[in-house]
Amino acid sequence: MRRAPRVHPRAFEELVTEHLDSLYRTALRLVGGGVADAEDLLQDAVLRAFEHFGQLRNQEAGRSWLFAILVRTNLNRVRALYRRAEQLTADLSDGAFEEALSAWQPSATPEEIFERRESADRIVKALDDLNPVLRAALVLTDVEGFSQREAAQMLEVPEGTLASRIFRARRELRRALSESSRELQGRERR
Amino acid sequence: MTSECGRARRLLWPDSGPRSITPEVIEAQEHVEGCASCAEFFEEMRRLSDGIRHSVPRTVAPLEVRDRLFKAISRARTQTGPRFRPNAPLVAAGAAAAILLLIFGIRAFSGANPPAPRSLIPVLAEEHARALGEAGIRSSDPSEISRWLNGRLSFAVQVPVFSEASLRGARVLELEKRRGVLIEYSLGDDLISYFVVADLPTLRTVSAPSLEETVWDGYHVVSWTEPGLLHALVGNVSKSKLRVLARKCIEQAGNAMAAFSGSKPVSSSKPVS
Repeated sequence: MRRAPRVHPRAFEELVTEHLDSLYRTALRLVGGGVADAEDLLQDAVLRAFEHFGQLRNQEAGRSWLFAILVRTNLNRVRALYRRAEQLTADLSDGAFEEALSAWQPSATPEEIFERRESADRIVKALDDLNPVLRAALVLTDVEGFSQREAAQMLEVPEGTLASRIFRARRELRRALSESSRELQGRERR
Repeated sequence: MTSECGRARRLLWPDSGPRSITPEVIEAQEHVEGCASCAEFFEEMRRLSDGIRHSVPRTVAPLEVRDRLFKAISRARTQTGPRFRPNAPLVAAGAAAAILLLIFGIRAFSGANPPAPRSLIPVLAEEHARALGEAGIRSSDPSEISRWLNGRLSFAVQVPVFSEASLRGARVLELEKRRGVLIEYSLGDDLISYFVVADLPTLRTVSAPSLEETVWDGYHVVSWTEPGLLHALVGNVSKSKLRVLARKCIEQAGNAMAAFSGSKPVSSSKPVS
C-alpha cells in the first residue's frame, strides 16, 4: 500500500472553507452582482487553485494566493471586456493623476450618503455599475482590506497605477451615490 | 488648489505602504500640514474608504454554492488521481473479491445484518474530504460535543474516546435526506471521520454488527449498521486501524447502552466479525 503524502489530507478544503465567504463575496462584486456568474467564476478559480495547490509553499499566504487566482481567472474570463474597459479608463500618468487629485472637490455631505438606511443597496449597485477595472481595485482594497501592494500584485499593475484606479473608483462611486441621493430626496419631497 | 496639492496627494497617497523619506516627501508633508484643502482631501478619502468597507454587506456563500463547490473539488480529486492507488496485486485481489461478492452477494443480503447502504459511501467520503467548517463545533471534550449534539439529532450518539486518536470536533449533516453527524479525530497527521447516520428503519435486531470495508476516492471506509443507524469510519489510515477503532466504537456504545439500561456491559473480547 502506498502511503499518503505527508501533507494535511484536507488542507486545500480547509483553506477554501476558511475564505469561502469572502471569495464568494468578491466573485459576486467582480462579475457585477450576477449570482450565477459569481458561482461559475468561484468554481473555475477554486478548481484552478486545486490544480496548483502544490505550488503554494507558504500556507499563511493562502488567502492572497486564492484571491490572486480568483482575480486572474476573472481577468481571463472577461479579457475582452477588460480590454475594452481598460481602453475606456486608460491608466493615468503621474502628471494626469496629480491633475485629477488636485481637481478633487470635497463632497458637502459624504456621511449622509453612508448613513441612510437604504444606502447599502445603493452602494452595492453603484459598485457593480463601476467600470470593471476600477471596481476590481476598490473591491480588493476598500471592501476586502488587502493592502495596495497586495492588490497591485494580484492585478499585475504597478502600485501607482492601482492608486489612481482606487482614486477614480472612489470618485465615480461618490458621484453615482450623490446623484442617486439627490434623486431619492427629490422623490421624498414629492 | 495648486499643482502642489496634486503632487502632495500623489506622494502621500494613503495606504501605499512604507515610503522612503525623500526631500520631495518632506516637502509634500510640509505642504499638507499647512493646506486645509489637502487635509480635507485625505480625511474624505479615509471616510469614503471606511464608508464603502462598512456599507457593502458581508454576504455569506449560500449552502448550495458550498455543496456544489466541494462536489466539484471532490470530482477533481478523483480525476487527478486518488491519493491511494492500489498496485497490480491489490487490483487483482480486488477483482477476486468482487467476484466473491457477486457469488455470495445474495447470501450476504439475506444474512442477519442489514447491509450498509452502499449509495452513501461516496457521500461519506466526500463529507470526510470537507473540513469541519463553520457550522460545527470544534472541541476535544466528548461531553461538550455530546451536549452540542443533544437536540440537533433525533437519535442518541455516543462520542467515542480513542487513546490513539484525538477528538477535534463535530458537525451535523444532511446526507440524501438522512440526518447524521460527523465526529472528527486526528491520528498523527491523518484525519478520521466517524459518521452516524439515520438509516432506514428495520425491525431486525442485530447481536454483533459486522464490519464492511471498502475504499472510495482513496479513503478507507469501515461501516456497520444497527437498527435505524449506519455507522462508518472514513480515513486515510489503514483498514486494520479503522477496524480497531470501529470495535472500540461498538464496545463503547454497548457499554453506554448497558449503563443506561442496567444490563451487563459489552466485553472488549466479544467477537466482532
